[in-house]
Amino acid sequence: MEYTKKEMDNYNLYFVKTKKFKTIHVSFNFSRERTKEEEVYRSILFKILLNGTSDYPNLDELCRKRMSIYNPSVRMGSEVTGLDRIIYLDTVFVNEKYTEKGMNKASIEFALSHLYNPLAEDGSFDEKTFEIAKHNYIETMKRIKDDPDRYSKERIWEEMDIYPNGEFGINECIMFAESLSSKDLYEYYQTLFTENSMDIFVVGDASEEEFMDIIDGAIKGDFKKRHRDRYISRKANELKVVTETSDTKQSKLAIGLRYESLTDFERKYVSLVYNNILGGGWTSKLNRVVREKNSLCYYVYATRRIPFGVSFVFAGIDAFNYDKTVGLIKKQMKDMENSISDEELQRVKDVYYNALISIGDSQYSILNSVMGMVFGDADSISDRRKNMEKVTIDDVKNIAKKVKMEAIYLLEGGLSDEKENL
Amino acid sequence: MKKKTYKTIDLDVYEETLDCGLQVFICPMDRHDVLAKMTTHYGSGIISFKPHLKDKFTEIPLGTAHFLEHKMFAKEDGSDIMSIFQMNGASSNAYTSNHVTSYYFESPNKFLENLKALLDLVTKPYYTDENVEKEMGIIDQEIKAGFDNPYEAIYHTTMLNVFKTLPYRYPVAGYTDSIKDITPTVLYDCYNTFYHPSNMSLTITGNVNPKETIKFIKEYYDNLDYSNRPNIEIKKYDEPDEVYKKEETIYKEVTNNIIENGYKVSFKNIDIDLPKAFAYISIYLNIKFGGISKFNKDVYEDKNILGPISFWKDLYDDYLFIDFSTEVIEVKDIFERIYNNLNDKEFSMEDFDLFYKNALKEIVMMSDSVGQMNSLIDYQIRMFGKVLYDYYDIYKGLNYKECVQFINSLDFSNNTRTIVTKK
Repeated sequence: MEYTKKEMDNYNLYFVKTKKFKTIHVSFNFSRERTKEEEVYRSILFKILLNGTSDYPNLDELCRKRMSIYNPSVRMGSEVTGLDRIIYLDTVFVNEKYTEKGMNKASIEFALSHLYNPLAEDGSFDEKTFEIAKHNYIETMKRIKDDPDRYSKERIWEEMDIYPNGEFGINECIMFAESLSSKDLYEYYQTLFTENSMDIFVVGDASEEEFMDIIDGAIKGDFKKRHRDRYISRKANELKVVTETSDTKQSKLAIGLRYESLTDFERKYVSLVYNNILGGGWTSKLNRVVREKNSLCYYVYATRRIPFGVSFVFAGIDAFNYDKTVGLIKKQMKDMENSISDEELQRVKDVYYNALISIGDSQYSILNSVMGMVFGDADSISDRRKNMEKVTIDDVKNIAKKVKMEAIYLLEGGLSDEKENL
Repeated sequence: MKKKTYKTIDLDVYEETLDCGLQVFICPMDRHDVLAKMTTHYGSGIISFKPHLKDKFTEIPLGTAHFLEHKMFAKEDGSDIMSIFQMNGASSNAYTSNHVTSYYFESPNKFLENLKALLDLVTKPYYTDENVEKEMGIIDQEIKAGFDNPYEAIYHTTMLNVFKTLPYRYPVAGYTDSIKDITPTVLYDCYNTFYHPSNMSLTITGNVNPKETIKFIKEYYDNLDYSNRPNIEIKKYDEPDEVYKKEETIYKEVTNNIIENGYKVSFKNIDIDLPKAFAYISIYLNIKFGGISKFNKDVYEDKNILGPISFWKDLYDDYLFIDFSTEVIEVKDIFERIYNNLNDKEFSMEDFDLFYKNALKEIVMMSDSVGQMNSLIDYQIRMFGKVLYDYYDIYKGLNYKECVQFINSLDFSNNTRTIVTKK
């Protein structure tokens, strides 16, 4: 996907011009090196910024304003891309060609008002707003365990010890949040504009000149242009097995795999093929053997988080089938070193090629693709296809030898004889 | 083929009903992907009916429609339809709801090959004792995961307590015990009755040539014999207006209390068109519980309530079901607050008018996505029996006074209250 880049004074502005959509997507991205405390800061901050501004301090007033300008969506979130964390504010709105003149500017200014006009005074956020947001965050963290799927995913992430600069577990997040004051958070908020780089993306049928004027007139901050440290790579630790019990009927199995010493080509392409032949989709080795042949589960799949050099395997099983399931997963991983068919390889490649073709069908995919090139080292779409064509069965077998099982986490259910209260 | 146009968003839809009865809707869009979805108007809400070519009504095990969905992928020649989709680089899946079962694929190429696979998927059943038995373990795991999740478990209980006789009250996937009674004969009875093309619709959106596509579909069905249309007879239920059970508490290892409040509203005697009625209900619920409401603001500021009150609605035969749910530290008066807010039918014309702009935004946004356009058409066929090409005009034609009158005619008193709390 073609894009243009405008180097502004202290931020970068990227345009992907396309007439295929009636909506326009604008994404503001702050990035800097990740810290473990940031997870807590940002979660509470988003709640404060999105639920009131100094112009519209109450949620209902803010929402009324949004509805009056054709209800643009405004959301904040974050992504960790290896060593960096990106915090984004995204807005999607209907192109004013379909509504009324002035709505493009109004939508962007409305979105940015969440960033620049928070409900705050004298160097801290409004105390009531802060307390509500902090309380909601703490309660959300406390109840992660209520959802066995989510909890097992959090736990395997913790057990894999992903980040070199450390990570808060669930309880540490809660303790840190409890210690935070409104002033602390406001100080962190100010660093968004002084310690981050800023990259802004516009996807849609937008005039570069018009949008550059609107955005440059609204963006304020002492942003830094900086080198990005992108990927985490290390040797696998010795395998550890962790079991916790739960009152659920089903057990959740989560397995962490680490890729060791990958080349750039392996990281970008071969690892994707490896992950998907092993556990991506219906015809994957794991699905065919664990689900279809042995009826051990409803789902089993592998998912790759390559900025961290890891993949995870997830399955919902009966606890008494734990040994059999883990044995079969290990056997399929071993098979990846020796037995991969042309058909398996081609299937993964075809899905990948189709995904490349489909990128242009959604603004979100376009944005992700361009961000992969800007924030990571993703190749252009045409090079991605050419490079994927080069991946051979031997490449996949070789990478299979570099994949190590590092952690197994079991949330063990089925222990209670008590009948389901239904 | 009849060509229709979605007003406001300038998208055409080509409609045709084939001789076999299949309804086809094709919406070309300037995209690479094409999404084709085949829907049979048979879901978990049908458990008693007269099977095609049989004289007597039969009662089938709970979870059969969902089980059938799984087993449609098994074929006599050993071919694996999911593998065909995947070998073609397509994404595909299937789902069963209370009302329908749908199968779909999405891909930017090999459209006709994938379409053939989709048609094979729904026209070639193959059920044996062995392949039915094999599926039991897989579906049992799916059921267990559902009941383990407190957010799903509370929904199952709420539905059980809203309806007394309508089978919508049961979980779509059934229970571990009920699926044990499913046999190939049961599956064939359901298939032969509900998978006839006259009970199905095919919706295709995206990079598609309508003329070539309809020709392909016609030729496919011309080679199959669907002359003997089933006369579908489904058991009627005498469902009371009252909810079956007013409250229930279930116990699980949860941190806080999860609450769900289901309202059963009779739609038997409404005197306006269903699309309009649904639009008024949507607006009303959003004014009273959505972002612009004082209620939502108060909830956000109340530390006892741990998130917004989620709400949604659907139609189950003659009843509108409105569902509210959230999490609370203590249950206190949360149910009363929802009840009082729903039944305080005052709202301003100023708030009402905000929704004209929102409706335009929604339809325009949907028209940007192959998936959302497909879902919109498929949903409208299921809900209203036709595609609402004048969807935005319907909104523009709404008026405040009629909305007030309509809302005042509805009885929002019948409700069931469910709590999940610590053991």
